[in-house]
Amino acid sequence: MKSNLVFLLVAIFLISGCAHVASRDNIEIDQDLSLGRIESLNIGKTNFKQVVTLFGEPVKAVTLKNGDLVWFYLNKEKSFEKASFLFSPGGSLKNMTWTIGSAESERNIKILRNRYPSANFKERKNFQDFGHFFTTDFYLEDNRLGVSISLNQDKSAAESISWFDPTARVVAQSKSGKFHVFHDPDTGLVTKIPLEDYQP
Amino acid sequence: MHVYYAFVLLYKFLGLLIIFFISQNSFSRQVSGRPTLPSDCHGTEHWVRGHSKSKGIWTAFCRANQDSGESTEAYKFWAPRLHEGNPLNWPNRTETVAIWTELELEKVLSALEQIPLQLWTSQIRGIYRLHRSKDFPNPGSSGDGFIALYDAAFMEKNNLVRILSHEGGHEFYSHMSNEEKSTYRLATGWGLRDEPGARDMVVYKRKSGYVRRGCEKDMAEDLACNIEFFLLNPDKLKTEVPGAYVWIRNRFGDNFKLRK
Repeated sequence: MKSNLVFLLVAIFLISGCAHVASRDNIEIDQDLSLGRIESLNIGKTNFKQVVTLFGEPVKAVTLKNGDLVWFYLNKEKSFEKASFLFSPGGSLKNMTWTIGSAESERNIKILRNRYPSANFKERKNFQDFGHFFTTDFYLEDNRLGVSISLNQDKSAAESISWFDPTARVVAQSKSGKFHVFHDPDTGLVTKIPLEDYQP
Repeated sequence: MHVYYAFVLLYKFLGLLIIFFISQNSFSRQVSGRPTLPSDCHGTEHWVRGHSKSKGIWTAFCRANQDSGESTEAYKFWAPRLHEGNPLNWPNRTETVAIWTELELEKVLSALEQIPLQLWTSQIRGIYRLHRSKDFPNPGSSGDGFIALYDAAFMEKNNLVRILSHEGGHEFYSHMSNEEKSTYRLATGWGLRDEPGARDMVVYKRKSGYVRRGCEKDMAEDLACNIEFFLLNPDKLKTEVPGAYVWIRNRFGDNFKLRK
């Protein structure tokens, strides 16, 4: 177990310059990826070692071109990706997402809202244009807490929850180093989109 | 004397014929100035396809339901979804509205008749006719419940069943749950993260095994291509992307086939 972990971490840090995927298809899924345990992590403070201590090794670890790391964990039945974590090159947690299974009570938006009584959720639309195809995704977000709940298309159920650092929300790395900066006056949220991806 | 009776019979017959035609026309109406669309017909009417040709122009019309119609299951579902104009909030602003011809409506309805029921979702709110895609010669686009068919879709070399299967695949993708999208990713070698407030981040994707060029653009395109090939070229899909073939078969069932 320990040697596997060392191999994985060495593989992650030695390979740079292109996205690298390390897979572990035969991994035992015995960790408890419950929402409560995920919520115990702190964006900006938790590091990857603590994530390994809590949840074991990821089933897939990807090193991005900019050095960020993405880790994926499967649910116990190995049928879908239950959680994913984005770490900075230094290993600190930048954001994380927890996917809600179809049979889980957290699909009920009311139950999920009650879980965050201090939150002031606002609905947010995210228009994604893929060229021949576009879609609008819906979220409930509290930018002060850094919590985002992804909703289904008819906004009747929750699909996943993401946690992010509300003070440093850069949505992707920019090849040109330039960003288009959006400022939402209602929420105070500043979002930076790579200039090459920005389509007015 | 026989000639006299023959004339009487002929007049009676012509009279009945005139009465018949008058009654027919009193239940039928056409929209003036442009082809009559299925969506022009009210609840008590049905659209009669442009099978009659007058002065070289196909003429369709709305007819009262009391007259026996030729409505099919597909007609009832799809006809109210064929619209003229611009789809709501359509992002491709350089694309201009085209007028449906009766023949095009006829072709689209018969293509839709062949699409399997699993893709007949109420989330598809409208099918529109636009001139030229911003990505010419792209024949179709879709988004947020709307499908646009461009001039290119009606070119000889293009197959409307293929185009509509592909666009139906996109609309299916829009309504997949995050859990379901994740099962597809695992089956087909995509790594994505849902980034709130931004485009999904493609973390990795399979290096090869795409059914045709362009399908590797993103996961939505890959799924739409694979659904299209499952229906029209299943052997190629089975060879190129076996994981997608199994996923689609498991998701939609063994009866996910083109309807005859």
